[in-house]
Amino acid sequence: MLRYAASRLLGIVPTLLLVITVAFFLIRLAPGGPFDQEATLAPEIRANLEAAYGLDQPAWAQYGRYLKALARGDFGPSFKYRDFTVTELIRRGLPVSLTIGFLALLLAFGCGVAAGCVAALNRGRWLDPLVMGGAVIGVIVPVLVIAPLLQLLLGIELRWLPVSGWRPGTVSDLVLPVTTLSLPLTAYIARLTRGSMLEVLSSNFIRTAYAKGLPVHRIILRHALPPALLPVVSYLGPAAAMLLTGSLVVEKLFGLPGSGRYLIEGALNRDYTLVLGMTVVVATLTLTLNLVADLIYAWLDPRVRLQVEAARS
Amino acid sequence: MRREGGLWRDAGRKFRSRPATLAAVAFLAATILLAWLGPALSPHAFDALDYAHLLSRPAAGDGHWFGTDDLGRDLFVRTMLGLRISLAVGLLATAVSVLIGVSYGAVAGYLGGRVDGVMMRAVDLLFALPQFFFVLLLAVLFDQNLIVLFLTIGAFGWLVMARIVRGQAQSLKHREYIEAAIACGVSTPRILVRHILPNVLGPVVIYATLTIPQMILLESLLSFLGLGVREPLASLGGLVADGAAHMDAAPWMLLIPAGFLSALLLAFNQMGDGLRDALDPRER
Repeated sequence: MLRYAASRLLGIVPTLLLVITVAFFLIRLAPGGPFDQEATLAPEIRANLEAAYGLDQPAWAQYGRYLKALARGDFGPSFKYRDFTVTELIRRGLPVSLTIGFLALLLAFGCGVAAGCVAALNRGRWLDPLVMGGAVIGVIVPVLVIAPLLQLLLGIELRWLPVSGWRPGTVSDLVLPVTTLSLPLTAYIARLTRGSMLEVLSSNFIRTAYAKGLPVHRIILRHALPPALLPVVSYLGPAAAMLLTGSLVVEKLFGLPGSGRYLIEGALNRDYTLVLGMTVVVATLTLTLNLVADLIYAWLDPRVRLQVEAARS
Repeated sequence: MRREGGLWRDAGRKFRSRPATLAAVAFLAATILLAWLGPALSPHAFDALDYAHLLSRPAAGDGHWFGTDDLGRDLFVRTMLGLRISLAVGLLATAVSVLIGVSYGAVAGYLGGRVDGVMMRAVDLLFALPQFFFVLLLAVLFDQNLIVLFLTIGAFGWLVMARIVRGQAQSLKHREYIEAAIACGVSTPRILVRHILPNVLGPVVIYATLTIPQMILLESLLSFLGLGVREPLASLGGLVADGAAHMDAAPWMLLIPAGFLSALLLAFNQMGDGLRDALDPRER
């Protein structure tokens, strides 16, 4: 299992390299440069600036230098936020984004699986269509509609929660962003869980478990849930991409100091290093989550697990 | 009963027998008609500033049926404009992604072997990456004009379509009529166009319908972040962003475009589900 994980981890490297390469040359292909907005720049100063950042060299040389620095963990200086390196900017925004993303993922996983199980176990009764009707709305109504509606209702009308803002360590500031971010994911996971749970519940080994006289909670938790979770686990990768997209909206609406704005501003300002740095972070995060999903899958599914172990010996 | 067209006629009957689908189709037809004709009915232009009516409530009296925004622009006309842009981007981007996805999938599935392996590995790779992130980068870097916008958005929606079509093409390629065509010396491109494509039409139509709301959503996300359609034009996402900024003083600015956007997405999804029920034999 460990060796499988290691080999999969190594497999990320070429993908990552490809993404960096594409992003690197794409940005340089785009019209405009990082110093365009400073209209009063004298040509000499501009030349000096470009020389200082190595922009006067051919693109291939810049690319080589960038990769070399990246291998040391150095993302380079930001072109726009002059006094900061990209590493500092990322270190500033990323913890906020990761906090709400991780909490939203946990919430969505917990609530989604629970709701899906409840719906599957109550099939044919009133609870099932109720939960699934809610899930349809949750999947379709986008975050950018849900978020301001919740702000309007809970923040402005009822005054239960702060409308927006971020004070480190304050839980009430987290409630609305995390809930909003997790809603579509919860709905999707609930649908997935219900479908696969129904399939598992109708299989022979569950019937055998009932026939043996096992208590119902044991059948559900020990026998039905693990195989029913497989599709949910393989959804973890796409879910990460969905969270990333959602968090751009949520960070903007709730005024959170996350890394989303560095991404957008970086692209608008042609801040090459900042955009590349964010690309590396985002790609690494999603690829890692995909890997984690695969590993959990292999661990949960005896067919894959045995295959992996057989390949080792 | 006539034999010809039996499959499609069955599908049509099944499609019409589902109330949610009918409601969705009726809503879409009404919305398209409204977006098309609506602006002509109103006395206001979409970018005219009316300083006498800043943030005024929806009312019939002054012709601002949906109220006005913070610059006094008429919200009815702007919402209709937003609908037009969102619909246009949704349909065109879907067309782009169908074009790429179908040809990519058909070629990979029909040729098979190593070509197929490489092509589908590339799709897997793209799947693992956050696509919205790259749409966003492209949209920002290559100027935010409408054509670039729907090309970029469309260029990222074709992955699932390619997988579906590839699977279908793979199972079709060993059918007798394809072998007969090969034996007759029909060229590969012609087999693809004349024999494979018509037979994958069902799933393509279903998935294309489900792609439209995704494309609309993608565009509205971009516009919401201020990276999509530029002022004074507006898509539904941009209007929702404006509305969110003024929701304490003028909640209608948020609620009206948000309502239209959600209803539009819901209707397209319902229509897609209806088509799937009607056309997908596995569901019967």
